[in-house]
Amino acid sequence: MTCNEYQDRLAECLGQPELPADLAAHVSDCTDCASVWEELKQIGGHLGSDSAFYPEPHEAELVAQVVEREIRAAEHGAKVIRPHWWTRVAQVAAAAVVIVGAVTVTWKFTHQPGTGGDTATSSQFADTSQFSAQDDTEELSSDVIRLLLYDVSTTDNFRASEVLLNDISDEEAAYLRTSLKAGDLL
Amino acid sequence: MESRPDPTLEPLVLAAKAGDQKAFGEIVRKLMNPVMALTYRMTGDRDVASDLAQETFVTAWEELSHFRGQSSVKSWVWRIAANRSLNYLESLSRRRTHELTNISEDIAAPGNIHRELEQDELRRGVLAFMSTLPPQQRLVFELRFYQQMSFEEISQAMDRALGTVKTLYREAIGKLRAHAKQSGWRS
Repeated sequence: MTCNEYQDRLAECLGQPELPADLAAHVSDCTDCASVWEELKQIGGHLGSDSAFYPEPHEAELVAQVVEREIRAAEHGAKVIRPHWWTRVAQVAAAAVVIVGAVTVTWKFTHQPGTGGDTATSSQFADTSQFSAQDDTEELSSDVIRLLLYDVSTTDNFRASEVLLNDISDEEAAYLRTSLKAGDLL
Repeated sequence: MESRPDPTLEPLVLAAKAGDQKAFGEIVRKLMNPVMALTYRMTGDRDVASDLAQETFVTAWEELSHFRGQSSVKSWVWRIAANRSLNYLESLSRRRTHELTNISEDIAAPGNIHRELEQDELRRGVLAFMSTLPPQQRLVFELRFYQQMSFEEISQAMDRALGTVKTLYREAIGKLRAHAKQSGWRS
């Protein structure tokens, strides 16, 4: 067997714990092949182990739960919508829409320009020009925010996401995926 | 892989085959990490990897009655995950939309920032290398290097000739050596 053939076999052994006896014997006698094997071992060290690519525990658990839901649903003849990445994006978008809407409505109910009171009348709602002069960073109560986030993040409630997804093309979805961050919306 | 069966899985498989969803849930949790690692290395994208892992386990549940135990349940699930990944890559290359930039964006995503830099660098390097391999070659490399399968097992799993599988692996190693040189791995 030539050194080229031995080196082909060495390449096949990358990642294996031990060399076959005949290869090991050749490597111990041949400096060229020993240097190739040394190089391959060094490269192997840069490839890491399987566990270096494990997901975070919560990611793995989330996927496991989705699988269990799908199986339960299949047993009952129902189809579950899988939370693909675009569903998650849509959920965030839906959360943003709901929160922005709620902030606006809450703001309208709690601000009366000129009077400083806590109640609002229908005539004051009609005067939208007043809003532009106001600070738009008013905060919702933490309870309201928590309820809204819970509603849109609960995995069994995809109605808002479905409505949004009906209007999203593949190109738009690709754009959202590469450019949208939750922080941009929330 | 065949030589290291997990004895705790076998009773769970029997129970799951009898319709025990809880037992199947345990199998899913035992195999989820390595399956997601496989689909991640094959695709270079965490979200796609999650979707493929979901599909893998749902298919496993649906096909469980056909599982005859001739191989370990692990290698059976691996085979489903590998085929799913391969189908995904082949449909992707048909659409010609897969770009290396997707990988670096995924690695640098805010959710991953807390991971230690060294591991990120390692993963980035591996995924960058794997993305240069054609789908079949990538799968052979994955099964041989990370799943420690023998060439005979790979040949069986992929339904390809033994010689073809070995050639694919050697070619992948040739590319790996070039990539390592370019990336300064050989210090």
